[in-house]
Amino acid sequence: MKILKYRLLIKRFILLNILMLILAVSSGCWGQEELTNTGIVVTTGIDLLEGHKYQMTVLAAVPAGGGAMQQPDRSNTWIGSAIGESPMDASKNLRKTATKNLTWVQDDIVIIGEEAARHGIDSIIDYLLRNRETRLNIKILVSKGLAADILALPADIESSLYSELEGGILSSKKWSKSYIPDLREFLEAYSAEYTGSVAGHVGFIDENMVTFSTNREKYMQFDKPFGTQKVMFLEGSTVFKGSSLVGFLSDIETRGFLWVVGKTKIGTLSIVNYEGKGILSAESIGSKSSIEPEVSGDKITFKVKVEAKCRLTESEESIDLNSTATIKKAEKALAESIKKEMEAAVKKAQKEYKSDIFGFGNTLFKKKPAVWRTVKDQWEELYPEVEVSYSVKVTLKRMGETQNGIKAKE
Amino acid sequence: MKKYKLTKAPVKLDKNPGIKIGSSKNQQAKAASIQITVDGALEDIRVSQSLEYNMSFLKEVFSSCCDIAFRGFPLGSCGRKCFAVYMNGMVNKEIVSRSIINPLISLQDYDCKDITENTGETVKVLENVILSVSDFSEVYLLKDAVKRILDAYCILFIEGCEKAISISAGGLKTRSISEAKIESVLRGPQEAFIEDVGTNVTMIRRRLKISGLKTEKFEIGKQSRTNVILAYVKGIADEGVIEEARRRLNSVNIDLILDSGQIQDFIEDDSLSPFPQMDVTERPDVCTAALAEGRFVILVDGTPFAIIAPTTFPYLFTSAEDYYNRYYFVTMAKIMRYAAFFIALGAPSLYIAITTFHPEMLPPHLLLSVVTARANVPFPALVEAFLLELTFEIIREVAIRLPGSISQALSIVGALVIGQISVQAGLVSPLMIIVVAVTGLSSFLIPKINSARQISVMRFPMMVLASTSGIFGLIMGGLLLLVHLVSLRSFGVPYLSPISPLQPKGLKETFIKLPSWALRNKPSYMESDRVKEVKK
Repeated sequence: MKILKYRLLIKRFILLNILMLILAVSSGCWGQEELTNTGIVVTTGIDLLEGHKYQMTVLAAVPAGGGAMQQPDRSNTWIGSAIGESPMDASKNLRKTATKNLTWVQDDIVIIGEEAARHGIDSIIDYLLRNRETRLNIKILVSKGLAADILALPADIESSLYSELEGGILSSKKWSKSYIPDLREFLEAYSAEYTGSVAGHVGFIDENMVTFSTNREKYMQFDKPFGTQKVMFLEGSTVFKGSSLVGFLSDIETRGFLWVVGKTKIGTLSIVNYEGKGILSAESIGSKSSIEPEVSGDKITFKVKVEAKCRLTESEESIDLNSTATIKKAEKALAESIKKEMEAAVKKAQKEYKSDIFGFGNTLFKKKPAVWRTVKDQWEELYPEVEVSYSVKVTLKRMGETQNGIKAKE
Repeated sequence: MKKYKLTKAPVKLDKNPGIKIGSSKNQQAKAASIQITVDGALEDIRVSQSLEYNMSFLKEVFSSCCDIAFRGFPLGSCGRKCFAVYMNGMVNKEIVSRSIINPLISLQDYDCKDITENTGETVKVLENVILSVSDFSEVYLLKDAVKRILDAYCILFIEGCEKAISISAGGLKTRSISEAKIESVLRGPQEAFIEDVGTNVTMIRRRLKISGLKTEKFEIGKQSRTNVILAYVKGIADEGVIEEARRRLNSVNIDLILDSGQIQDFIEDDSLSPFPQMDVTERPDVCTAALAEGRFVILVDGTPFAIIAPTTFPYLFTSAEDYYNRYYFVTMAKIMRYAAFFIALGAPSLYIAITTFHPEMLPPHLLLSVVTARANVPFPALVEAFLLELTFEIIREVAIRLPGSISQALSIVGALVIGQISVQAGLVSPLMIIVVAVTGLSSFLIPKINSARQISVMRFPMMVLASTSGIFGLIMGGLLLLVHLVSLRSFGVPYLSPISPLQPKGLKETFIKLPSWALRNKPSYMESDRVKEVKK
């Protein structure tokens, strides 16, 4: 009896082992990739060249070996570029020169060249969306000029341009004068009917002020004045209509856009020259916005409502902030400045680009579906003429560390 | 441990048939026909009235045993002879000479008169009047006498008596009680069990002064005839569990027992499982606590390690100290232990899975440093991990075997060669060393270091699974382990209780520890209605 039981146990044990072995063998090496053989693409640039050829430029982290004990002395960023019939083809052609097996799993940033963007990015978006390796949190940027030119910029402070881009994206969040959506955010607008989409904007300028990392001694060795140097920047945003790029939003317009759609972050500044007395500025510490469509007869108006809680960041002695009444006045002035920014953004998008980046049509569809059905087909023509009204309420929650501004006594 | 097989062929002493009980007439026919296989298999021969017969019988049995002592002497002035037999070293010679031999040799005339008047009652007289010993019993069979001698009794044969007297004179030299070496604690009782089971029982009894503490004696091992004590508290321990423990102890079929681990193999519910269903401890306070909780303890003579059952999985994560320290500290420690268990089980395999299958799971900068660290390593992650894990296991094993005086060499080899040179040589990556080091350390955080540390060996199959199917394989492995854990029982108690089946009341001792006043009741899973039908 006991022996039988042991046999059964041993049988089961063997069976289990065989099962595990089958699992191990049958799964094979699918998806298996030794890290040491991998080049990790961190930034991708896609350009459209003449003759409808796509060019893909990548920054890939390729560890230069050197073991762990010493710092690798070579640059560990590989810049590769290849041309193909389609984005995918170009990405495959990259392997012609790649020294490692490229993987896109860690790709954080994609830069679309202006030419490609103007032509339409359907095929690029499909490439990004369809492949398992690219993720939905990839940041979408559009460059003025070729993306390849941006990616060829040398890194100054960080070890690679990728780190600089990444840092820039992070710091621009509190700036609100640029807007860099990730693929998921971008797609929400991109795939919605009659809605324009907004992507980030990356460019470079020739800068006189040279940034470099060195010490004072080395600095003294430079006796001749510096020439200019190309510096990458992230500012403003880009507007798409349908699948094509139609134009750029300036920094202030971008902030106006963010106020309308309620994507301002904590730290967004509102600034006003207060009654000619001086500058008054406040930082958002939390805001919300809503868009209400109002229909009266044939006329459709949209009411943008913004409520912002702010923290005073700048003031001057001549501005009186000592009583509730004066504070209310200051709040009104700040609200007015926000309203102006929104107006600028809406005007640009409505009149110039004719792209519904605020999703007015979508709001109408959600809140007044019956009306939307009747105007849906003429929305393209209606949108530029639609009236938008604003109601902004700013509440100064904190006055900072002091009351009125300070002034030297004479 | 090699198992000693029972000798099949009996040792023949003589050709003639043995003298059975009842055939006392021919006992003079001396030690004619003793058949010996092992001592337990001696035939039932009665103690003879003839001293010579008894002596020659015992001399045959104990032939070539230099440690047996026969001491013949006259019974005072009565004119009768007697002799004492005992094992040198196993008995206290002082007791033998002072309390047994001396009073008998110097028997006065009036005692002799008593003895001669009641010839049949010699033994009674000796018991009641002469011998001032505490443990006194009569032996009728020579076989029993042999057994008693081996059990450190002094056996007294008296001319003309058909029975022998066995007197306990145990004086086996034992180690003195010392500090717990394996399960040392900062706070709490420091003493540990020793090799002598009697002392060990006393140590428990001293802490549990109730008559309900039962200590049942078993004799296990055909050759070693080891005393095994089953201790439990009647009224607290579940009757069914105790009955099952008795049954299993009785059915142990082994020749030699040197440690409780051998018994554990026999009476465990599933001895093929990597998870121990019995706990091992050298601490009397742990045993006492277990007894009070309704568990039973098995003490084995000759080893300081007692085993405790029923044991559940969370029980392996409790240390004796938990009950002596402040609760919030203990709670933190407990959570840490569970975390360490998962690290010990899964850290290397997770590393392998991520580096070979899922590099997207790491933040880019971390991934970069991983890749940079691994850039020069010629092996795949699995081989690298196995190399280091193996090295770690070797060092650990060596550390146990190595005498203290040369252990410094080990630390140099371990720290320098393995730690630094192997990285410089490009054999392994520094990250892997961190992973293996943390894994190794974590595996020692399981408090029941004696019984449960081996669980972490399960990380090797996990590593293979991880290297072939990534996180998927890891999850599969984890599920298999979980299924196995859920189906395990320890003497009828589900192994994962009180987590599964869930008993919220029991959880207050599982992941956290409440102050002592909140832990009045015994664990709910030890309640008899919770104990599932005992299987096996």
